[in-house]
Amino acid sequence: MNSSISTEPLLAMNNLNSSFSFPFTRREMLRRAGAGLGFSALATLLSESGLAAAPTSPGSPWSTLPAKAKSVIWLFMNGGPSQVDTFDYKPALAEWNDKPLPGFDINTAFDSHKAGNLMASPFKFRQHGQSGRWVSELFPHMATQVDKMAFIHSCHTDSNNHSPALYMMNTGTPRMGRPSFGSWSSYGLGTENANLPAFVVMADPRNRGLPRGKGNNWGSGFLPSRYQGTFLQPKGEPIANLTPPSGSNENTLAAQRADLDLLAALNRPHLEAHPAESDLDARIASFELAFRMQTQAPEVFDLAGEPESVRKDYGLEESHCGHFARQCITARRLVERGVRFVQLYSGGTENQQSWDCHANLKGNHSSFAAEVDQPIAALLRDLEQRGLLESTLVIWGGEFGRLPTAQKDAQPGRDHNPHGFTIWMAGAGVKPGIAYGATDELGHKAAVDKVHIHDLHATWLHLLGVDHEKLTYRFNGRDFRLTDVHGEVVQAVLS
Amino acid sequence: MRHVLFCLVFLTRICVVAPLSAAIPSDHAEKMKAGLELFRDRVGPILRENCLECHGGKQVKGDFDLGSREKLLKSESVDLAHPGQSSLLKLIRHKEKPEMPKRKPKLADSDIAAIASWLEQGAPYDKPFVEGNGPVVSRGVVTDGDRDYWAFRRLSPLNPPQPKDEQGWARNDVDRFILAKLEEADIRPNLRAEPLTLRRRMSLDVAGLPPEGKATVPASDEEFDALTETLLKSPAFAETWARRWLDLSRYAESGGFQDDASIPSAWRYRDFVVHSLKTNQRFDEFLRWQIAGDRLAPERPEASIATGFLALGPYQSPVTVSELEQARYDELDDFLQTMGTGMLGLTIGCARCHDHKYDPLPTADYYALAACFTTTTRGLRDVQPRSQEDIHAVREWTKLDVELGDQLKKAESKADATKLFGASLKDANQASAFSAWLREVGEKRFADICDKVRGGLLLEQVGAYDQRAMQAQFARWISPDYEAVWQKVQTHQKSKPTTPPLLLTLTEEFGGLNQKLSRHIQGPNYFRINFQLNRGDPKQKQREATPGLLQVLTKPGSSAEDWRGQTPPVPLYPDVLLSSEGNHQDHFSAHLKLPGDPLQPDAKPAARDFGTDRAALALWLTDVEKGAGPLAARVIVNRLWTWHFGRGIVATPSDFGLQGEPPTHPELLEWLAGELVRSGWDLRHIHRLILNSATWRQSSAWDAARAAEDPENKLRWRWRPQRLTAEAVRDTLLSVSGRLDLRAGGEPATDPMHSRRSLYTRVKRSEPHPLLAAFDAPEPIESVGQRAVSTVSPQALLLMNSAFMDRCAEDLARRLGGEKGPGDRATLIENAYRTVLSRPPTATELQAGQTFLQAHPDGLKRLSHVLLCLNELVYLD
Repeated sequence: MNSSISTEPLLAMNNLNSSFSFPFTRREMLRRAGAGLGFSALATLLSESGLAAAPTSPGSPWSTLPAKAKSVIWLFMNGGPSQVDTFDYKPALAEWNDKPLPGFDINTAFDSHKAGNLMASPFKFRQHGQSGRWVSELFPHMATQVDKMAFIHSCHTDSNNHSPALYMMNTGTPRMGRPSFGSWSSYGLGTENANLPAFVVMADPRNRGLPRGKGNNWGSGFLPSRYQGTFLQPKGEPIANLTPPSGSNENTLAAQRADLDLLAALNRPHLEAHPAESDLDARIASFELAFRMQTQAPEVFDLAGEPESVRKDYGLEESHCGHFARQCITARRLVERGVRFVQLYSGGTENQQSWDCHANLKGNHSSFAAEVDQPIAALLRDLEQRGLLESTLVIWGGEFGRLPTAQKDAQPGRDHNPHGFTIWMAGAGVKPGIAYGATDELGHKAAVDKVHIHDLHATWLHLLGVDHEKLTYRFNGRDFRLTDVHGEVVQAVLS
Repeated sequence: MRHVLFCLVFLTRICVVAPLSAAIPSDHAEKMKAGLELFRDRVGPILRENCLECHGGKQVKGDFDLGSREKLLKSESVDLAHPGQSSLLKLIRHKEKPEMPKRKPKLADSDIAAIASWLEQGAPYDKPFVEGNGPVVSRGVVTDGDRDYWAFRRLSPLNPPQPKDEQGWARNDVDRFILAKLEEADIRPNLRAEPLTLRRRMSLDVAGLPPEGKATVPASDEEFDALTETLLKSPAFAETWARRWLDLSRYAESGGFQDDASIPSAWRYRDFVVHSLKTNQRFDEFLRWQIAGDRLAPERPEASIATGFLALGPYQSPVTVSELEQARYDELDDFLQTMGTGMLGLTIGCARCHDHKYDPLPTADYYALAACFTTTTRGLRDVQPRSQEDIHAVREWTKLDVELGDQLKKAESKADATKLFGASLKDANQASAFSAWLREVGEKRFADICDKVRGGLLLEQVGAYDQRAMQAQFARWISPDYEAVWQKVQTHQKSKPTTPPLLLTLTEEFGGLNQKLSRHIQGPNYFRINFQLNRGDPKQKQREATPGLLQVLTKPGSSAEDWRGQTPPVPLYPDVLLSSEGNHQDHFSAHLKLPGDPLQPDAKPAARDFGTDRAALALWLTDVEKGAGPLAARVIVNRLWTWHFGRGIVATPSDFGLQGEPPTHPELLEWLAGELVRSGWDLRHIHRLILNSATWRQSSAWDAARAAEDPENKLRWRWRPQRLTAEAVRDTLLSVSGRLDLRAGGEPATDPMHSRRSLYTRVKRSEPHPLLAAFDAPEPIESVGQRAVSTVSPQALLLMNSAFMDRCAEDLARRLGGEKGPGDRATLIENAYRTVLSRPPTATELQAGQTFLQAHPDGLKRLSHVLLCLNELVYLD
């Protein structure tokens, strides 16, 4: 942790690295921020320009519940993995193979003209761990970790279409442009390391593209843009503008230091002439912080120092999973350094380039499972060994599930299914080794203890110490929530 | 009995305010009496203990309020016609979610039974739990009292006050309103800012660009008045202020969502806004055109283009059958919200799911307004009037085009991809990289592709491929006859009669003429009947919605019919419409569709389908006497004030409702709105009033005593410095480094490094421009009336390290001449400050610059870079 970094007193109170101002009144700001711990102290510093602050952890006014999780690592299986081929074992599917699915609404399928009959899973299932959870042969490594996981088999969502379903999972609405879960988290809780972004996103490094709906999946919507996810470039410099364009000249940093000193000196008279404008102060500090970031952030992304055992465990040198291993290790390093929220996408844009197995279920899921299985299992072990698992919430899942029926093709696949799918959680505050909820006998629809996306969001915020009904932001005259007017904490999965 | 029951249902459904009186079953009184006792003894205490905290006491959750009987019946959780089926019972019986009471144990069975029989008995209350209106006011009917709220009143004429003004400070009536309040508070306003400061402020505020360092500096007030005139008439003014309107219209040049397909000619809407401001179009007409210009002035192409205000919103693509209805209601909601917040400062969207919690906007009004758009969709249209000859030429050309298209299809059907490629392409796993690549080359002749495949290039380029996807794609290209037909198609394409560009506008649907914007759509673009929905859920339709207007902004006694009667006669259907398949358009299969064309069955829509309701809505919007005109005027003058000062008279410029901030100077606001209307909706008149006021021209000098009295500067005793907008930051950097390209209008610039004004940067919803986004340019998803201003380290990183800044520093260094001789350093720094900050350097600055250049003889670029990062550059003082 780079906790030794000193910050300006004002900024320290002020979520460290920045200021955010709305030309609003004090009354408006009090209403926005809520009267929380440390807020009155801050209020005295408010100038007429209205320097509002993102609340800092742990004194955040939004943090009203005991927080179990300090950080989140969200392993997003982009495209929608099939529940009945991974963790939701449905022996009846084999008996019903090639029979029509009773009560099937053909419009559930995206390619309804290709909707076929029920299809048994091509993968064998076995029970694992002390908890005896069922896992298919797709995940031999993850299967060793089931005793850490809480499965929710009864998830359901609102759309059978990728981008709305991705937006739903990430922002709580199938419409474009609302703040993402990560943005709400960093808005609500701030960051613990001012030298790194609070919310980091990694996507496919194999040139297969971004998830559908692109950056709006980690956008900040109407929240100030500082809360949006920082996208790590899969290739080259991970964070934009972290090094001067002139490159690796050793003198560059020294030269830049001298330049910034001149900048600070030239800014001083202007600052003194405007004593009431605290933004000016914040802006000067932002250059200093930027300078520190560029000297320190690259260290996070440099895995050279990781010991052989770690490299091996994650499969860093393996060609089939090395790319995802690198991202999982990076995720752990980020969390170690106080980053609040890390989201990691497996798979790219187009159908077969992600978990979106419209054709060739067997080939598609085998290859994507092989990419993530070993790194994810290693991540859970690694977090546990470092004592980070108790403060890190790990989430695994996609934007929806797959139909238990076949999508007709030379090598059949499965089409989208918003009615039932599985996610698992592990780590901070999560009851380990349990399964909650169930789909019907054929794995088609959530049937027992249904859990909607809003409920997942409520639960995850709860684990972060935030009441989902209280975390609000006013935009265009309305107080918005991540969970809109819905959401119920799934108590059964909490430890 | 059946009849009675019907009446009861009817009453409980719609009777919100009137008490139950007529048509009551004969045993009603008896039942109510028994129920009353039950309420007093059992049910009341149960409800108070378990439910009231969230449902009508301190708050009202889930729109369920049991504070009084009236509210309970209105909640729709109780159905007195079928009390046993009330959803309230299902929730407390845990038959449905959310299980109630929340986070408390389930009620005892006997308690539930008591509540059930109380409902059977008509759910009487002995007295309400909550006296008065409590937190939720029933808004089914809008009253005269509601209309008396300051924002909803008719405009009232008033005269400016006469402050003492011993200093002779006031320059115009704006100042007299401001000064009167300051005198009341005994606070003295600042004097005029220094000429250099004021010149820079005026130039950046009005034209979005810094003044030329060498231009003369106005000295007197009158010289500044002249500068106001010059700037207000400059093209740069129109460009700068157009961008502010584009924030309100969530303007973008792509559709967003998964496909984020480019919208052809979206930029014409942007150019329309610029043109309108440049020519000082009447603002009321400007507003009306953006809602229904196609219908109000069909002969004017720019009036149709104006409807881009609503048409350019995000749209879902692809959209599946099961999402179709939701997507349509979302689209209508986007229309209403954008119009409501942008033009009226009303959060109409809140009334989609329930009566507005604070403002007199009942859900019924929301759906009435939505119904004005029932047949309105967004279509790519040719908005130019055409001659008969042109139409004939297009028709003939199109016929042949269709024929050729058929021939091409026939040729494609003979395709045999496996024969050609079966041998060279083997492995089948990763289809999509190949498909994507193929789409890219799709425009090229198939022979080129074949050559590449034969040469093995393709395999190298795309790696493995999917046989199935490949065959489908290639079927279009490969067959013995294909090449010949392809040549014909190519020749024919060259002879295509010039057609004006297609524009995305609002347009009326009939006969399915309009193409579908969204991909994968397997149904209509719209539904002929619009419903009022329960909780905004298309699965819970309540009743058909008929077109109407917001009651609260309509003078009692007037109705939508008044404005319908004023709409111009239904125009002839525009001569040419063009159909395409959105982003999956085949360039040779776009068919022009004409009325009476053999390609297109005749469509004879009803008059209503021609947007008469929408046109009536537009007329109502700016009607000062009977419609929403007063509010529209108040909202825009407050916006102008907000953009000039950084803070509005109403500090919540997009929310004039009861939750918004009250105006700091209500009389001034009222007077300005009146001035706007009296001047013939002349925006420039308002700009002039503001820019020529002593209020706007004050210095930013701050002192503790006055700040203690008015810390937020609500009374306007000083100018408050503002951070430049993202566009002004970028334009200033380009301008001072000498690279700004002032070409106006037209296609947007796609290269992020481009040097045109930032207004002309392509706005793609999924790919925000890095610099503009970093400096708080809003996401073009919802209407934004006031941008956030953030100061964060990514901005600093961008200014320190981006290629764009490197280029600016280099250009500036070159512009400054690069003299290195010690004798020239002073001149150089003098020049640098005049160029970058439009002022000469101070002695200290001169010294610091010289010292730096002495220490770093090759450091001119570095010094330039430092100057471009100065606080002073990005703040308007």
